[in-house]
Amino acid sequence: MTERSAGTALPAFAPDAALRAKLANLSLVSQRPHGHLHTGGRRSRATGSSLEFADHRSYSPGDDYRQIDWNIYARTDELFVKVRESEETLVVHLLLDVSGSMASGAPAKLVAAQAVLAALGWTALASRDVVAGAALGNDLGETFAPRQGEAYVARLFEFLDRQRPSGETGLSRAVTAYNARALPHGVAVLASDLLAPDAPRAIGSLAQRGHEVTVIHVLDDEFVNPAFADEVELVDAERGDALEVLGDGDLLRAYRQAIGDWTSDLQRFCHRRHVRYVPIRSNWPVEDIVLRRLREHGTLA
Amino acid sequence: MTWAAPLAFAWAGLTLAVLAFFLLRPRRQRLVVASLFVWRRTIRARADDTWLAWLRRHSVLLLQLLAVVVFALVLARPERLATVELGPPVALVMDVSASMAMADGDGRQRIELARAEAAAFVNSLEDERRVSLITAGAVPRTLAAQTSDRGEVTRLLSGIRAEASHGRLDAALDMARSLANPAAGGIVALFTDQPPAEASDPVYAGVRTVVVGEPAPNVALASFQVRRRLDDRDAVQGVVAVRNDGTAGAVAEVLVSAGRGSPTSRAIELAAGAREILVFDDLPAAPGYQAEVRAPDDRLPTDDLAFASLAEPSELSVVVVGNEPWPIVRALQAVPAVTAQAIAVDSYDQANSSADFYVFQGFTPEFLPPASAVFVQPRAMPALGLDSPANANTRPLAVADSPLLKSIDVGDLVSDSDVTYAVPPWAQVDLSVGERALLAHGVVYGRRTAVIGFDVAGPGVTQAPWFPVFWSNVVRWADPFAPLPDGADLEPGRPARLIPHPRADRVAVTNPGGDSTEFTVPEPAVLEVTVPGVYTVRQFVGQDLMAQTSIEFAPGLATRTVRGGDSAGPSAAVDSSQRIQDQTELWPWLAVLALALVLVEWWIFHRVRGVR
Repeated sequence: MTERSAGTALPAFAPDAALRAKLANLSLVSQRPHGHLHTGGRRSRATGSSLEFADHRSYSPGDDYRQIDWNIYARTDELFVKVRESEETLVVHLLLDVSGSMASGAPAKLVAAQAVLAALGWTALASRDVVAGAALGNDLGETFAPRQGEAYVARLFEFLDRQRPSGETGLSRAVTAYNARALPHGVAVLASDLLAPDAPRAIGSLAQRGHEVTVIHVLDDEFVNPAFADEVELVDAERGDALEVLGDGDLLRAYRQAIGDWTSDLQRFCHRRHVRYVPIRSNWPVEDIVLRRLREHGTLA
Repeated sequence: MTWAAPLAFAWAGLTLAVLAFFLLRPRRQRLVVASLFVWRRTIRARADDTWLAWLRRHSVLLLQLLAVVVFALVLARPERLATVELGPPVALVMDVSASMAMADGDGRQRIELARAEAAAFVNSLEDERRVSLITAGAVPRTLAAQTSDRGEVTRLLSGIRAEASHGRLDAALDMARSLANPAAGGIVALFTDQPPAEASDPVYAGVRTVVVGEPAPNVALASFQVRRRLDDRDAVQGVVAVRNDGTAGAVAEVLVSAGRGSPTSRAIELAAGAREILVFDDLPAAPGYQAEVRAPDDRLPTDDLAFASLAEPSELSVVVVGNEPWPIVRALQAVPAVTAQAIAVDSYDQANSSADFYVFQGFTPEFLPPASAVFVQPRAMPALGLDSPANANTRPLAVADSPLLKSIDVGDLVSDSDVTYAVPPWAQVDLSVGERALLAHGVVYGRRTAVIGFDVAGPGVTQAPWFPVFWSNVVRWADPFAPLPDGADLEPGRPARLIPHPRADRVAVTNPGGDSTEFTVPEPAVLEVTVPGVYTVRQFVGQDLMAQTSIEFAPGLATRTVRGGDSAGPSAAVDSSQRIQDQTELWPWLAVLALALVLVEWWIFHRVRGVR
């Protein structure tokens, strides 16, 4: 299940060399500054101390005299200082739903979510963004402390690889707990099947925290298009409770309609809160998800 | 609505089994899904109306439960009280003696011919007629009693075979008379190959005989009635219907005599199958009248003699007091000239008891009513010398010639709930268990009284063929209007003790010569026969005539006691139809409903799929 790469055992969901090569030219999109003026890998609309020249302005007392442009002073006998662009550090929050329902599907929805987050994490670390992460179950699970630089790629993959689906979904409680850690806001990517009534509240809570949120809604074909034609007892993978149904055409049509209504409701909810909503299926190729769909939705550029 | 078999409600307990099967039913497939979140939303969206959705989900279960309940109702045999029209009863007696197995010229056995004749006869009857079917073998058997189901009678007929024994026609005909007394408008039809040898044979009196085997003329009296002329109340008019049931014409002479007077005769010629009515005007007033038809070629002379009197018929009023009176009431209503009604124990009014005959079912009145009385499993009655009932632990023995057990196999009426009594001094035992009586009858305080210890309301009892026969026997014996007990023999020089109606205070006996003897109750009244003819017994309450009974005495003939005014004759076509309150069985409709429920349940289960 793992491949050897540069002497490190990588999990199966980790992006392979070909995908990494394609991702090298991409980075996560942040549409607004988040105010973290540390040395980072991306330009900011704020000015700062990087090498990139932006403009000149008149000298004011207190300005760094090393920034005085002596050539202009020689020509005009006035003091001007050079204004340079600032380079911002973007914090990317990778949030993985590890509730029991993520185990279903072929392949499991958790595997698909791990693969997507791994690709995004690799892209972020390669872009010198800061990556933080957390596993969201019934409550806040294991966390991945904010790290910057490609040196932490393996540790990020190991963090993702350790996650196993279990327990009930408590997205809202888990997100609230994550927000309480007071990490800098940035881009938050939530990969979940959202099979919980409080899922919209959790998304809203992330957006309210100041994150630019992308929701990757992971579903599987069996869930979306169930195919049974007789009496079955459906058992909830998380709670264990049962529901007896007779799978006739009318019921399955009504179910598919309910799925459509549910995803439409989620999409509208996300749109109202400027959250990117990216529905995917667990059996889709990760390259297609990352390189095409996430780019189409503006998460990667 | 009442229930013929209320114990069958226990079958409703099967609903628990249905529920258990529902709760424990195997699940066909167990499917683990990520979440029921969307499924519940789907179901909520489909189930806007909660109780309607619940009904829809559990429709199959509800239909199954309902079907079980309805089936239990069917088995409980619900009955609804309704007014039904009952036609005169008909009793078919099939001779199954060994000679009936003989074949005639066409190769068909006589029993086959008899079956065909009987089937044709049954099919020609009106729907309202109740038919009884009796076989006259070595042991006469009642195959059907007072049934309106023509199909059942036809089926039973088709199963009748000749036996390798002689036929007890006398016993079978007696049984038939108890079910369809010709004297009261019933019809007794005998299908046999042996026409009676003598015209005076009393066994065949009033019996419509169909002889199979060889065609022969059969001249018979169809009916004989006498009435006062409308224009002259002192003159009497006799109406005689004569018919030829045979296959050849006959010349006959009809004779009608009043009392012991000289007969008036008419000669007639009857073609095969013809019927003629003769009116004899200006007959003198007499206590009794006799009609006779004589034909030289008549092969069946037993249906050639009939009697009649001027008295009005008396209806016997019977009241059944008890908690489950209806089966007995229905059996009594089937007896001709009997009006029976049921009275609950709480509604019994001792002071206003005016019926002629009471049946007390598990109930003991404070005083004996002035009527005949039958006590069914009574408590101890010291006034009648009855002790407390005790369970019958051995098989009872029947007394020969019991008037209450005529044509009844004792083994049929024994059950676990029978009780016995010490034999009271006034009673004669009919059924005995050791020293105790299971059934006894007698006269006490001037009342015909019977005590019944066996269960007459148990499961299946009311449907048993002996049940109506038994109650018919009881009525015949306990009829308070009949001063001479049924079956009593009359012999010259041996006065017969008469039992007057308990309400009668004076009895007058008139012999054929017109001489009367009066007895004032409680002075014992007797009937002493001296010369052949019709003796008349009149019972009075004060100056009012209460009942008049004609008793025919003819040496060599069995004595027939005919209630006043009844005309007796072969195939007497008196319309004795009556409207009675009877229980109509509702179970066929419920059975159809139950079947429909099962079909709907099947259809829903297999055709309609939905969330349960």
